[in-house]
Amino acid sequence: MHHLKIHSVGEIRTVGFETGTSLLEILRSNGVQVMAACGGNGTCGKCKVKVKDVGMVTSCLYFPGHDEEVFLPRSLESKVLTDQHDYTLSIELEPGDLIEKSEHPVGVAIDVGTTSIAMYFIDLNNGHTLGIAGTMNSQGQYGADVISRINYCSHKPDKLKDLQAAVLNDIRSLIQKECESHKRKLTDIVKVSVAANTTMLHMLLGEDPTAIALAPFTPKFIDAKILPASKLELGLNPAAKVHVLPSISAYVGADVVAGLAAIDPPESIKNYLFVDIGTNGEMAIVTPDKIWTCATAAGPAFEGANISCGMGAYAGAISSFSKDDVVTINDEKAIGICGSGLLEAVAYLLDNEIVSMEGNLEEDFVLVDANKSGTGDAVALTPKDIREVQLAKSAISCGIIALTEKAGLSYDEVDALFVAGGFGNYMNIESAIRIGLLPQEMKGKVIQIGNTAGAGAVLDVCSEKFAKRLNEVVKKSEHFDLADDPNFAMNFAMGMYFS
Amino acid sequence: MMEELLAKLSDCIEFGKINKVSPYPPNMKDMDGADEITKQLLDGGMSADDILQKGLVIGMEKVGVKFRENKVFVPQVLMSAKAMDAAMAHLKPIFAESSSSRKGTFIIGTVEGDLHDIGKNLVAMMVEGNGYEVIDLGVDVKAEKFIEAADAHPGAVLALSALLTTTMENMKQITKAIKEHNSAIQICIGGAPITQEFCDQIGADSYNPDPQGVVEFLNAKSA
Ligand code: B12
Ligand code: FES
Repeated sequence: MHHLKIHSVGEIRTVGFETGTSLLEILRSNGVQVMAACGGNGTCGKCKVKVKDVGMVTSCLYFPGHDEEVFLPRSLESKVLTDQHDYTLSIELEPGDLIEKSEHPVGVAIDVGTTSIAMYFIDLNNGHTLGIAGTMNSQGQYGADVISRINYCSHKPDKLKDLQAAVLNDIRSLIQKECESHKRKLTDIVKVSVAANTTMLHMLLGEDPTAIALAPFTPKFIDAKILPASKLELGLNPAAKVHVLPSISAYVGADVVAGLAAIDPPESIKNYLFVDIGTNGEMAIVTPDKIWTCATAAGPAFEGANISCGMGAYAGAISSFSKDDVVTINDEKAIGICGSGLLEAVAYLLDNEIVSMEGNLEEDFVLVDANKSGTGDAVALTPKDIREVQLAKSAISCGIIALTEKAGLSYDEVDALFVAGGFGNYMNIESAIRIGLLPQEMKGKVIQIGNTAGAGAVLDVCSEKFAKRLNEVVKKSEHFDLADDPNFAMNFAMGMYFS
Repeated sequence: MMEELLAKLSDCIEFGKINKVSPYPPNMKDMDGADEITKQLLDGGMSADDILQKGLVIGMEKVGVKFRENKVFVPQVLMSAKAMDAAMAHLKPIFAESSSSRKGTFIIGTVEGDLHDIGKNLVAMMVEGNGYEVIDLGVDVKAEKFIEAADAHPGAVLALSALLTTTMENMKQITKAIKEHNSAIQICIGGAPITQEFCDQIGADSYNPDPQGVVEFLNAKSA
């Protein structure tokens, strides 16, 4: 038995371990969370921690053989998208009979994202939002994307329990905090509505998600569910119910359905695209009588994974870049680059012909010098980073092209392109168009609409009638698999060029 | 004259010039492409073997090396592969008739549960362009199908591609099944999440991060 001394924010403790266990495993089994984007596969490089006298190590590949000391990166708060948009549906308050179970009934709307969780605390007597809270999804320690997490628990019920416990704990502590700060009791909570992607819903309910990750991609359930909150042991009002919103397919989940149902555009917008620029790149095109959906699997480049200096949108991340102005989150010294910064940096490199139209970059491009960075190393983009951007942006743009074709429309006939989700909300649209992530033709018609999944969950908590709208979206929708599109490979390859 | 044409053919492969009407690449506009030049070489009496070895293989090797060095990317390689297809369309019927000297047989497929085939297709086309006969089993391929194909082509090398962390498990099972059936069958693996450690762990014979690597593995074997 050897000992590992763990230094994390203002805390030092020592744990025992046996040789032959990876550092990641040791930390994890002692309840320490380390982001492991590829789930410990050794390919993402995001699980780095500092080992005394050794330096930065990839913790999933590092097997300590004697007593060691490890220093963990500072844990980070996640930002929540709060603003509701003009184009969000407004609905009358009709939360149902359950409000009689408490004098001060509260409804909780939750958007369980793969990366972060957003929670909306709603006063059901008047529909007012009492508070909004967010946290990182602590399932992140088992893998950044849904596939890595499914892989972690595939056919292993005890591992599935780990994942379920992780998300339920996140939800419990958010609820507790909100109750405290708004002086409500847990038993005041009578209704919970959850929007999330199909995999997150499976993990939340403890259903085996294995089949989602293998062709032909058949989830265990996609229908809406209403279950007693006691089943999830959230400690709420004994009569409280949890509403799980309906999904469309393995990769177009309740988060998308909730988002589509929450959007209520003006008359002038008849046909519109809806795009979530995330790892799975879910998107839809809505026409008066039909909705087409697809998932483009762009990958996590815009969330910072697979990019050498990439990171999430946390303090110290470069979030905006131009020649004489580098902006970081919280104005801290740069330690990496997040998606919005990446877009602007690549647009800059293209405008200045440092990256060619083919995507060639001759040598590493330094964004922030070593002596000015917060890590002591330069924050730079590598030629391979540009390749990752090319793959991701082409996947998204090909999805948009394929959907528009499927609906038989030209860009002229598409009245708006709504970008949803965290990254979509913070990104610079001009840069997105410059690098070809979004089509040039939609210039002037792009609308950043915020967290529509959260908005949909709020609407569901507030009104019994919203369920009908959700069902209409599901009924109107037809999913198509890009793997069946014979033109996809060629479009995808050619879409990697910049113009 | 023939030498010059061969050099041009090699350029067409390297730069992805399919035929005369193809607008790509812009600086070779209106020039003959792989399609026309292969035909001219055959009409001029050159053997299919020579066209393959002294034209296509030379061009394809350059593409492979440039891709490995990150000087070109997927779209360029795809165009090169298309150019090669255009040339092979003339050569394949000849190979089918003669018992001609292709360097060996390479059987490739994406493993069960996985439908990603862009990377696998690039590997297949590069290997073919380097003078091997390629049998492509497609996507979502089960162990039995790999084994059947291997039995039908004794001495062939098998190649498995996987792009999902979840289908790496299937790759492991398939490798095991093939080795149990006949441990002499050589297995190459690849795909974005695959690593050398994984290769060692599942007992496959060769891992390569890029197509040129697998070509070199095959060349070393057949040398
Ligand atoms: C294009 C793509 C698709 C296309 C596939 C089209 C097709 N016909 O292949 C579509 C949109 C259909 C698709 C669907 C899905 N995809 Co997909 N897809 C991608 C994407 C964007 C690029 C993959 C690619 O083609 N790369 C280019 C090629 C050239 O590279 P490559 O395949 O790695 O191959 C190279 C090497 O690996 C090597 N190689 C490959 N095979 C072999 C074999 C041998 C023997 C050797 C030696 C070498 C070798 O040589 C090649 C050339 O260098 C990636 C994300 C990304 N940014 O990379 C996700 C990605 C692979 N997909 C992913 C997922 C999850 C899916 C889905 C399951 C779910 C979803 N969200 O849609 C679905 C369904 C999968 C299915 N149909 O099988 C995930 C996998 C995550 C994980 N942890 O495993 C990724 C990483 C995106 C993500 N969400 O993070 N996808
Ligand atoms: S490299 Fe360790 S988790 Fe990805």
